[in-house]
Amino acid sequence: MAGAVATNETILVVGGGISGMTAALEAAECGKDVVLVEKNPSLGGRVSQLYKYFPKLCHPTCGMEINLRRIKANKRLRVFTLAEVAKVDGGPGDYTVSIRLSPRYVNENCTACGACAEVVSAEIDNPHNYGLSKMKAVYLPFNMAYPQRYVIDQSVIGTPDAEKAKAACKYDAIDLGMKEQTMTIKVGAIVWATGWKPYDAAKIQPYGYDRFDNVVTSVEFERMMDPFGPTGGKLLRPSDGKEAKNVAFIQCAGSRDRNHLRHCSRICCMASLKQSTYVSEQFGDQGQSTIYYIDIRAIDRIEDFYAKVRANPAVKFVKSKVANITEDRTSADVILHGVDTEGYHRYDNRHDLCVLAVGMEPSVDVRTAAATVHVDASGFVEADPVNGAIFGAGCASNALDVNRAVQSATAASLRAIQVINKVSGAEV
Amino acid sequence: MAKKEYSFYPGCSSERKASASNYMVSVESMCKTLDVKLNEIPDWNCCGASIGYAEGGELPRHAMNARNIALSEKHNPGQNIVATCAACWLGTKETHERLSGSAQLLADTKEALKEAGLDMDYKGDVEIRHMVEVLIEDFGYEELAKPVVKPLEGIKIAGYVGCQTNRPFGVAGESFENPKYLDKLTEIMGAEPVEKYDQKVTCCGGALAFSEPDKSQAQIKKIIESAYDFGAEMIVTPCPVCQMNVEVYQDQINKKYGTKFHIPVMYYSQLMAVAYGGTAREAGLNGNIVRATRLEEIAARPAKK
Repeated sequence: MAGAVATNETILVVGGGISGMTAALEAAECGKDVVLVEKNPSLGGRVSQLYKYFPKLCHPTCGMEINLRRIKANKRLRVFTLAEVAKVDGGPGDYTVSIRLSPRYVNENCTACGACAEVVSAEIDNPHNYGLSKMKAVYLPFNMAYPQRYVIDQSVIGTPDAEKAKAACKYDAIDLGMKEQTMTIKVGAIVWATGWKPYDAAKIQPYGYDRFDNVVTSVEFERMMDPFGPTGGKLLRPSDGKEAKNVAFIQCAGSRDRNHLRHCSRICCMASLKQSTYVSEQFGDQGQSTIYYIDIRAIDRIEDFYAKVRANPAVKFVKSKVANITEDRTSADVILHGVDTEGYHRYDNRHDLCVLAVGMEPSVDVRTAAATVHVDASGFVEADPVNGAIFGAGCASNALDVNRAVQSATAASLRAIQVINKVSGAEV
Repeated sequence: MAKKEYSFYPGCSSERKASASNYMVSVESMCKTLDVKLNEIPDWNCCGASIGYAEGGELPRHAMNARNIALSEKHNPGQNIVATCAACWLGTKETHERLSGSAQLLADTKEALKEAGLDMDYKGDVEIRHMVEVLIEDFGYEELAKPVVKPLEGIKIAGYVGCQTNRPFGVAGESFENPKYLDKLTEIMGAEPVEKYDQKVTCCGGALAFSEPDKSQAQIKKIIESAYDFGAEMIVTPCPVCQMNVEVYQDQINKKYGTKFHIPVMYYSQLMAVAYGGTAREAGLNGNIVRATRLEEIAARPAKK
C-alpha cells in the first residue's frame, strides 16, 4: 500500500513546480519533514516548459538541475508524483489530507532505458509541448523529468501495446495491475502551490485560435524554441512549416478584459518582449516582431529590458487592442485588423505567425479540496486568517513571474515553519 | 394532440406575399413532419425592427414587443414564444430581458399598454425563442435526422448565420465568430457543409441595403464570393433579411463588379422540408428568385425509404 509517515509536525506542499519545489526545499533544509505532491508524472511544472527566463535570458534547465540535486540529497523531503489532494479536513497543526494516487504502471525498478516505448505504436498528444507534437503512449515526460521513470498512459491499458511494453522490459519494472489508491496523512501546515494554467485562447473568439493554424499561444511559441521541442528549436509556423520571420504578438490576450480575465497577468509583457529576442536570435535582421499592446507593463526593475527591446529596429510597437484576425486563404498568413490609437489609423497587417500572450489563471480551484480557503475574484488564494495554516504560494496566489513566485514560496514556507514550530513547542 | 406546442410570432416578412412567405410555407411543412403546433399570437404587431432602434425611442420599442408578449400570455398561456424571423426574435427577447431587469421600465410599459386597452399581467415566465433553438434544444440533431427520407446528397452548402441569431444572445453553446449550428443542420439533412466558410457572421447590411447600397453590396459580395471559393452551390440562412439581401442584389452586384453570381439562398427550413419528403411547393422553393434546381430535383424524386 502506498503511504507516507507523516505527523502533525509535517508540512505538506501541494504542487511540484518551481514554487512548490522551492517551498518544500526551504522547509526541508530548515529541518522540517515535508511531503511534496505533484499531479503530473514529473516535477518541474511550467518552468520546465520555458526556453529562457527573462530578464537574464538564461535557461531554466540550470535552476531545475540544482533543485533536483537538492531534492535528491534531502532525506526529510518525500516526493509523490501522479498525486492529487482530494480533501483537506481539520485545522492548523492538525490537518487530515486525503491524497489520490494515480497508477503509473511502472515501478521503481525502471532505469529509463526506453525499451518499452520503442515497442508500442499508440501515440498521444504530448502535454509537455502543449499538444504541438505527438509522443508514444508509454513515455518519459521530458528529458529532465523527475523521477526518471517511464509512465504508461491510461489509454493503452488493456490493449496489446501494454503487453508488448511489459514484455520488452528487462527489469520487471512494469506492473499493469496497479490501481488508483488513496492515502490519508496527518500534517500540521499546507503550502498550496498548484500554479497556473494558460487562459483558454479559443475563448477569445475574434482571434481565431481554434480556426487558424498560424495563431498560437505564447506558451506554445516557447516550446518551439526548445531544441527538444515540437519543431526542433526552430520558429516554424504550423500551417506549412515555413520559417516565421514576421511575428505578431498580441498582448492582454484574455487578460484585463471583462469578457475574460479581469486581472493583469503581469508576466505577458515581459514574456513577449523576451520572445521578440527569440525572433532576432533565429533570423537576425530578417526577423521582424510587432507587439500590439494596451500599455507595456515591464514590471518594475526590468524596465531596462523593455528599453533595450524598444531600441531594436526589428521590433515594432503598435498601441492597439487588435479587433480581429482573419486568415489569407491561399498563404495561410494571418491578417490583424484594428485601429492604432496613436494617430487613429486603421490597419490590416499581414504576419507569418501571431502569438497570443495569453493570461494566467489558477490551475486548480483550491476550494474543491479545502472549501473554506479564501480566494480573490480571479480564484487566486488570498492571505486570510480563515485559511488557518493553508498558505498560497507562487502562481496559486497571484499572477507572478518566476522570481516573484520563488519569493512568494519562500515566504509561504516560513509561515508553515512557524506553525510547525508552535506544534512542536519549539516556538511559543 | 401535437407532440410540441408553441405560441408563434410570425412577423411581417412571413405574411402572405411578403419577402419570406416561402419561409413560412417551409416552416409549416417542417413542423408538420416534426408534429409541432404553432399557435399564432392573435393581432400581433411589428417588432420595431431596425427603425425601433434608430428613431423609435426605448419605451415605444419595448411597448410594441411587450404587447406581443402580453397577447401571447393572454391567448396562449404558459407557452414559450417562438419566432422564425431573426429580428422579431431579437427584439422580443431583448424586451423580455429588459422588462425582467427593470421595475421602472416594466411599470412604464404596463402603463403604455393600459392606454391601448391591454391590461398586461406580465409574468415573464415564458422564454422567447428562435425556431432554430426549438429545433436544436427541444429536438436535438439526432432526433431531427430521423425523419429524413430524401437526403440532400452531393450538395455543398455554405451556412451563412448572419448577425441577429448570433449576437448579442446567440444560440446556446455556439461560438460568436464561428457558430456551427447551420453546418450541423446541413449535415444531418445529408448535404455537405462548408466547414471553413469564413464569412458566416459577416453583416449583410441589414436595412442599410436600401440607404447605403454600395456599402451593403460590398458586404454581400464577400459573403457570396467566399461561398463560391469553397465550392458551395447554395447558401443557407436562418434570417429573412439575410436571405433577401444575399439573394436579390446578385444582379446589381454582377453589373457593378463584373461577377457572375447566381447562387440560391435558402432557409434551413426549406432544406429540411425537402429532406423530410415535402414537395417543391411545400418547401416554398417557388418563392426564391434564384431557383434551387438541385433541391427541386430532389423534391421531385421518390423518397428513399
